[in-house]
Amino acid sequence: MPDYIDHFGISDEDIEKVVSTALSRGCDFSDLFFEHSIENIITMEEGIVKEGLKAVSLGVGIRCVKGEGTGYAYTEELSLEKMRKAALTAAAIADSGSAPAPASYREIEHSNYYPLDRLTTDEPLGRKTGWIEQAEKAARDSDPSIVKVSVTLADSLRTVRLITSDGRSLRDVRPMTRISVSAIGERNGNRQVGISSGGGRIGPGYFAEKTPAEHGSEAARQALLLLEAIDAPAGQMEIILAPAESGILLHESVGHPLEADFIRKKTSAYTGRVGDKVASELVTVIDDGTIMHDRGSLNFDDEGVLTEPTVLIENGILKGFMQDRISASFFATSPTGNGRRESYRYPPMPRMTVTYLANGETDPGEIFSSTKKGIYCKSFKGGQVDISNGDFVFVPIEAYLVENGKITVPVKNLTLTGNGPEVLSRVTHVGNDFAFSDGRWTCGKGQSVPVGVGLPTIKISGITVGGSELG
Amino acid sequence: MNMDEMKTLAMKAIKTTIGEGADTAEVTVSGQDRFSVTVRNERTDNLTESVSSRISITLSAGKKKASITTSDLSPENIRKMIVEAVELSSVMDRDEYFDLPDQEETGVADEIKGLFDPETVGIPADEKISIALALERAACGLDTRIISDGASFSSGMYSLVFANSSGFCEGYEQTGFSTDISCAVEDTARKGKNTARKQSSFWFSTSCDRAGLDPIENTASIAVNRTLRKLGAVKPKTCSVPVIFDQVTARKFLGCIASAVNGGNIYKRASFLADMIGKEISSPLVTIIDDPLMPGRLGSRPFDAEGVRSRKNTVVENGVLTSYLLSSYQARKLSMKTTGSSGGISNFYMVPGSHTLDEIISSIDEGLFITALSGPGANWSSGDFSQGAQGIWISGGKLTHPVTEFTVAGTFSEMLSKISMVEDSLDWKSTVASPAFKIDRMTISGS
Repeated sequence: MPDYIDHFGISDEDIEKVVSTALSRGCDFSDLFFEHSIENIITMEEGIVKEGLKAVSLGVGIRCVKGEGTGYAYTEELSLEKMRKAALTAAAIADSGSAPAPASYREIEHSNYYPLDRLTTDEPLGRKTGWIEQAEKAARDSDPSIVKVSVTLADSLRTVRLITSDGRSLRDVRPMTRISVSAIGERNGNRQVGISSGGGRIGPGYFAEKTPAEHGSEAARQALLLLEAIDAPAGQMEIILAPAESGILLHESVGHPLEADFIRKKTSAYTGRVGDKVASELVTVIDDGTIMHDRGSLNFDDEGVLTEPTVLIENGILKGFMQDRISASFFATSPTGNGRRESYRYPPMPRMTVTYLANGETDPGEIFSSTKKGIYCKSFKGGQVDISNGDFVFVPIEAYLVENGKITVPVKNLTLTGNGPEVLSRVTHVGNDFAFSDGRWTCGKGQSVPVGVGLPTIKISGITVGGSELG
Repeated sequence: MNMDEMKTLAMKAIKTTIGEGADTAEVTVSGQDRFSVTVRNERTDNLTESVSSRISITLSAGKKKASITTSDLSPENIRKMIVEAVELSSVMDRDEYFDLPDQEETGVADEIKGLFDPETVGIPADEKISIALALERAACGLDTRIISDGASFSSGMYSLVFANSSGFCEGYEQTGFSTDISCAVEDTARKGKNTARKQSSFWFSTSCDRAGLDPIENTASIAVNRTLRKLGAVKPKTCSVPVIFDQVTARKFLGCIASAVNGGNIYKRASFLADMIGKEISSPLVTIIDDPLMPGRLGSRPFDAEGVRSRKNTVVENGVLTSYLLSSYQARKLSMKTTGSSGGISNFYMVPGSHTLDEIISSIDEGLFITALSGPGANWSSGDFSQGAQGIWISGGKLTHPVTEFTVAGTFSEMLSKISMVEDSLDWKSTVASPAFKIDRMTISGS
């Protein structure tokens, strides 16, 4: 962990007073989430380094939980008076008795899944603009058809201290780096956008693995490819998903409906189905916040539970859900380290960390050779799911037509639609080439949190491809 | 913080910023006081209260620009961050187009009525909770199959001060209320081994004043109706038919048009409407306006994010693109004039047409009434449109059965040019509003 700097300056005595106030109306438990965050964003567009932004936030969120109910308040002034006022507001969720606050707080040891000797946040500004310029130049130099390039480098450092009413204290420093390049190609009135981005809970060392110039070239390559792409066909067909980034399909179609709040509220399509076969036996799905340096990893979640690998689906059988403390208590099970929040302004809820489909045994070449006509999807813009039934859509950026076992021509303007449970039961091949996606995904469920995904090459026997060309 | 304290803080920050060596400074101080409660199964599920404020400063030195924003309003932190911003600006490139807006453009529009409801402050928490409870009860009372996914009430007070180093310093206050209800229902119609299918939907109401909220019975019954009418939804056949976008999906479509006319996307050429001013981009039935001066609307404002006086802008008039929405910077980049649109749209809407929704539906022999769109497949840069959708099939001029798991695809240009009927009413739910409209033909991909 990078050095923990105490931005909060709160004495144990004051903590006890605030926790006592939070417990004064008899809630089941309470927690204080102190957070200091620094975010830096530098953007280059139209050939100049144009905008620099630094954002600093400081605050504490105080939560009181009674049964399934949450009282929540936050303050950005860390005076005892303001914190007690917030605690009293949150405490109003409960209405009987009171419990004493612990007098001392035990520091909880935890693993570190993002050890760094240098932070992007501490890098000299000139070095950061250097990376950005390299990426921009690489994209611009790719081809005269590339008319606009923009590059954004964002880094952040969040310092968190969590206090729970059962006497635990946890401290963490959470770094993040993300570079994003977008390139617009224009030819004969046709305009296409290519995007490349990546990063993680990692420092400047990231650029030794994947250089800014590689991101620049990649964005341009994609835009140029899309200029050559034909409109996608419409109808039901076989889909091959490339490794790594395609994990977004899993995140949308299966991940969200396995978040325990939807199960507890009985609104998920997977409610009451533990032990059922919900996918092809080739499918094992895991959520794991302990992947080193991944964008979605956390040493502990935002309610103080240590992260761990959680098997959601094993060989097609539904094993369990992603639990926060409220849901775990409702189901009389253990929380799984999935209680996350965007910042101190929000109470936690069950969220994914790094969600992936485990490696299989099939050679990817065989997956292609068994395909007569289909679509091969390499990268994605994103997706969305209807939790109540698992119906999803997702939108590829880079995709190709596969004919008689061979990739033939790039296609554009398509949306894939399907039903999560149905599609997972139609997984016919799982490749042996598993990879995690580069760190670029942010998940929105009322609150935004960074997540990771991963997948080997897989084939699904039928998904509806929404293109505009009737075949 | 009251308005005067916010103005004092803003002026002080301007002074410090210029004192640290900046040529220009723009400061926004904003504050909010929010309350929200969600109830589920007759219990409080979540109650959140917060008071927060923030200062944001943009400065330039030698036309090199940098910004900071922070919730830590201590004088030490603000000063420290201003010094950091000056340093940050030194590594930026010179941007010849950067400047404060012309002084004749800055100013405050005449008072816009109905944006602030002084009663906001006085509503006790218990009363707010009871509104949410009543909404949930109303919904569950309509049909025993309804599973509540929560009913909410929220209220907020927002204040904003903007100041710049040319002497502008003004502020305004606004209040906002909303109610919403989400519900689900078991959908056993589809046979098969892999289903615990449900259907879900929601409805909501928003207003600047409490009295402007829809009666809870209306909100509840629309939410329940939107949920129940999805029962037994099937995948439609792949085909090419006329479609109607209802007000919810029309609003989403119009939101994409708002992005496509945004000056930032225009000068970056990330819009299918770049270079199209004065050209016919749509059927003549389409007129689109952005109006920040509307009384009692959530997007109303007396000046924009850089202090430019608000004015009504007609973006599309009878199918012809008449204006982009521009900040002063975007205007300079395009050799145009600011439209007072820094910070984005205000109240962006399509002007209602002349047909009732029933007339539009009955004009279609076989087609689709679209009620939900999902996924990120609306690409206003390339102009390609491909979205997951849900809706109701139309046969013989009547709504028949629900359909789901399909996509609608086309291009924005084609869709706009094929709008052949526009509904005669408008329901304001957010800062974008659109009547329902009919598009003569689109590709539906289903089974």
